[in-house]
Amino acid sequence: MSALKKILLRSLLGFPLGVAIGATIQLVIVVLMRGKPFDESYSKLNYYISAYLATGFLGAAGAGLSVVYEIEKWSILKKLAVHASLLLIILLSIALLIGWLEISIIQIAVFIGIFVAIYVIIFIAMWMYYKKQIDVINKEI
Amino acid sequence: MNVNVNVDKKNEEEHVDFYVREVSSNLQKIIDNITNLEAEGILGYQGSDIAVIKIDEIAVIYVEKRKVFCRTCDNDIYAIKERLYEFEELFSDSGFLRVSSSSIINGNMIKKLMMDITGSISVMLTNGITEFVSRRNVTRIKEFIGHGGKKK
Repeated sequence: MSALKKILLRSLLGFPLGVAIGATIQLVIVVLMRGKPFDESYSKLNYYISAYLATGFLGAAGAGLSVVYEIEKWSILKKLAVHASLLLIILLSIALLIGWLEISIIQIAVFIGIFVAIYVIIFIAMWMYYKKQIDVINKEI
Repeated sequence: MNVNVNVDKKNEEEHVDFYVREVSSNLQKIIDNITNLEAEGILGYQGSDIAVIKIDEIAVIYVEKRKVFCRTCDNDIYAIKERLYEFEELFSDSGFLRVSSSSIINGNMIKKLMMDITGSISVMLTNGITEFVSRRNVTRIKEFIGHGGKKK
């Protein structure tokens, strides 16, 4: 299967997955906030449409971009860095567009900080996992 | 195609004859297999020279620009006719391991595994050369070493 076909197929599957994850998060927030989570400036219909599209596109982007993990010759760092950068650009654009984030340097910086921190933790965890495997193998040789 | 096998204990030199209209690619594979069986090696090509490379002298089989090459323990490089998967099928019992989509190493020559700061993994062989290892194949090496490695 060509890379483009793979990206398209995964994006198609990622869209409903993104919507499902988004709806679950929203449900949790609604329950926690006892039914009052919505910004008054949105009419309910507009809110649902934009949230549906945003979570769907995010799911599609995340799933589609996962093909970078199959590029065999790339190191763990390169795969994570490319996936993180592309996803961050898409996520940030959507978040600003539909108002999840305000256009404020502090908000955007905190957002990017948390996002990058998650990827750094994933990188360290993966690096340590493989380092341990390699040490075990080297001891047995 | 008719196949005749003549068993004769007095036969001093065992040999195989083919009577065909042309040498098809399938027949070529059979011929290659018989040649390999006979020599316990594969044929390596260096320009116009052809050499029989013994299996235990092979360090790495790899693909470069769609061609398959063999690097020996002495770091000589030969082009070979076998495809990567064919070599894998033929010699996995001799300790050869797939380490990435483009290379197979001699498992009996593994010296150590290494990982750099970016998380790129490679294997160093006893003749000093290093070969890239894809992450999914680390488990394969682990199993090979865990089972006592050195399958003979």
